Amino acid sequence: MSTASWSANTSYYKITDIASDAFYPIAIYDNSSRRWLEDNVNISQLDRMRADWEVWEGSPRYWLPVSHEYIAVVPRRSSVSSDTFDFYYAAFAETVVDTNVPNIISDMQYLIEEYATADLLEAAEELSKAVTYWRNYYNGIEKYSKRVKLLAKPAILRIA
Amino acid sequence: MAIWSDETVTRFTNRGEDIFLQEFPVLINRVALSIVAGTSQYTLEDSVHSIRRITWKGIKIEPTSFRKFRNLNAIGTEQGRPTEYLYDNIGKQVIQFFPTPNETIASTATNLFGAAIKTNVIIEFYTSGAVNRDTVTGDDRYTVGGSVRNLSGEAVIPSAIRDRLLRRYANSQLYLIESRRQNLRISKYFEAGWKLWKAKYGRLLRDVIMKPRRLLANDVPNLNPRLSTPRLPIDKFGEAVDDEWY
Repeated sequence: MSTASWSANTSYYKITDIASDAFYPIAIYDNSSRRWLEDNVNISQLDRMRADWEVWEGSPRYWLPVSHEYIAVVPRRSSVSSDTFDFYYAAFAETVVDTNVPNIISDMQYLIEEYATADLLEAAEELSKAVTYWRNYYNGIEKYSKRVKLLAKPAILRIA
Repeated sequence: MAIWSDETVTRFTNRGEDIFLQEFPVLINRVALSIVAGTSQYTLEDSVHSIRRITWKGIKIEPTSFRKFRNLNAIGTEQGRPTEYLYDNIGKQVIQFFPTPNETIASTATNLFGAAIKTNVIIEFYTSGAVNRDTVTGDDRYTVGGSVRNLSGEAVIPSAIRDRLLRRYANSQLYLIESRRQNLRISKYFEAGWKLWKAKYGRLLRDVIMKPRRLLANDVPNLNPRLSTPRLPIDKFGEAVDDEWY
């Protein structure tokens, strides 16, 4: 999550200007109105609401991704203020350097080694060897993905 | 000594990007038109793959069909604020407005996603990779080429995806070149990877990243513009968002 300020006369925000490591957005919370911006509209629905939604001014209510680089926030703010919003996003992994502790659980860190070995074997034209490592890597990724979802299960139990 | 020249590698990399973008149009760019009063037709850059949206000082202009356009033209050549446009990209990149514009509007190159919307005629379009290709070297994707105004030339496939994807296409083609390095088995290997990841990344970009999230429990399913009370994202309430990308 990253917190940023609303800009005046801005319908489109560049994702990487809000958070440099952002891959794609998930949700936006407006700290001034204390509301989650609605995320269930697409461009044609906005067009049906207002032909001039790109210059519609007011308190932000909707947001939608328009490309992998930009999100639209509608209506847009007409004046500059110190009001902020929280931007929830999926991030790119940081670039690995030797001193890094990988950002995944310790018993799955071998996956990085599997990937690197497969990639290097591929470059060396050792394809059948590379395939073995690729298989280990993708099987491991699948297992890890299931495990991460399982860890999150308590948070996604229906409470109603 | 390098096995293949830089030019050859770059050529295949660019071609791979073009193929990917033709199949999955995900790169979006904007250009502002210089409008002249009394002129209805304007030529667009070759990089305009297809038009996504046109706004006249922030107000959307609708696309129209040839049949309707002929009927409209039968009325006369009246001038006013255009409400419709016709785009013929078969053979020539010409756009025609109806009614014919009755004012002259200067174009700007910056802030096309921001403050310039209110004062410009802006075309938002899906672009081919060529938009970022340098007109001199023909290979620099991070430099804005020609007269297309790009918001600092960053309309590129995300680097984490681009490198892995295009390397596979380039390798599949490089190993096909008639030389001592030719190896059809390796070429097939990379071609299989290219097809797999092209489909996977294309779907990720087009169908997942660029679509509305719809995570909120919303009170206005029919888009009735009355005020609603959006709640926390559904996963906070317990509605599972069991998508492979979340």
